[in-house]
Amino acid sequence: MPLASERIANVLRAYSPKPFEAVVPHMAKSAATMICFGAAVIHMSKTAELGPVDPQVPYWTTGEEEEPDWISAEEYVRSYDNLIALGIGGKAKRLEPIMLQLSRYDSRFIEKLRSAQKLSEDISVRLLKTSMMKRRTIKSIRKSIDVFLRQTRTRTHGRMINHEEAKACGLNVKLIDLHSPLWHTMWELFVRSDWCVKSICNKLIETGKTSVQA
Amino acid sequence: MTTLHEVFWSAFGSRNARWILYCCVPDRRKASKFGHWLSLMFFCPNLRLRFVLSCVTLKTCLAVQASAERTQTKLQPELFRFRPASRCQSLRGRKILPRLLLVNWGAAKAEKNALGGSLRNGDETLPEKRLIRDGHVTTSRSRNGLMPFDDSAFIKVSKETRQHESFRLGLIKKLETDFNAKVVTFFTSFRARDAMITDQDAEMLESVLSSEPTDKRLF
Repeated sequence: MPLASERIANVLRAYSPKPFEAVVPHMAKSAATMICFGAAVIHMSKTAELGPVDPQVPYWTTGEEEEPDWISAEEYVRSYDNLIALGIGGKAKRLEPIMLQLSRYDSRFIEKLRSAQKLSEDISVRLLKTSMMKRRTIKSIRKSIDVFLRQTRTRTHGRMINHEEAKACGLNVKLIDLHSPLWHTMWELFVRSDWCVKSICNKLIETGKTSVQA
Repeated sequence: MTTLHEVFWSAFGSRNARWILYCCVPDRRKASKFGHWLSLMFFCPNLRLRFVLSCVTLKTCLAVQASAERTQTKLQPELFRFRPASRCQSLRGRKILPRLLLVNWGAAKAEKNALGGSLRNGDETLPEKRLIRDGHVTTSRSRNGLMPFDDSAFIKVSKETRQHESFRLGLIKKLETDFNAKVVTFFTSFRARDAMITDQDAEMLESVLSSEPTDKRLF
């Protein structure tokens, strides 16, 4: 998923003679937020949302479900780290329940998730370094977009990050007036497209001449 | 009371003179006004004066012709341009070209259609029938004179239900005009897990963008 975002941002940069700009009419979470990081400007309304960019992983509770639940990689890794800390901390009176819990984890998978987290962070920082935050160091970029990378402030993966928070992070956000005719056009386009991806197809890529549905 | 130009017409009945006059001024009533000038031109004994008179006559005729054509065609003046005077009238070669040229035939046709009738003033156009099918009015007409199937209520409702792309493409074009940029939209579902952003989306996006090269920034 983070790699796909990086590719999409790269494609948009390659085909745009000038730095491309992103418009978020409603929600651009996770990978979509990363695509926005590649833009020169992010246009948002007061109700528009960005979200944390930590990767999501499938999780089967019993192993018999057809479709898995999706949990945040950070949550998965954090729960593993907490169990390990409890086990080796010497504070737990009995180790059996901890061992039972840990037996459900695969350390290789945990390592894979750690790599995915780092990858997501690295891609976000690089995209910003080559677009909105050219003059800043990688360290300062990482620090300023911490709200997108960790759940310390948002608590969950799906929590909204509005235009004010995004601006406070140093992103180049332009506010769209909710009463402007431009917004009404955008909103109509969003409602029609959203209805389409909810009921007809899953993905929709369109220009003024072409419409591709998947 | 006979006027000079009537004398001229009766006396000479010159085919050439009449031909020149009618080519320059198609309207006979207006043409008769210049009969005086033409009579003077042909009767004048002084060669120099005759030349001056012929120039004045020709210039006046051309101006009248231009205004007549403008009035007759009902079209906007910017659709026309004046043909260079040197190429316009070549009396020696017996070739008279219209003073006005239509510059943009496409625009003229479009305007003609918008006017809903003939380009000429004189043509009487019948009032357009209101084409109605399923309670909807249409402006376009199909070949058999009935309302086009695309405008039927069923198709309209069907398009709305399926959210036909034509509804969105119009909005995208409007946004392109507003932003002065090429607008590309990318929507995915939050409900379906198949709708996660993948590498295939990047390929799909590239294939769309590669088929529509632009010099404007992407939005």
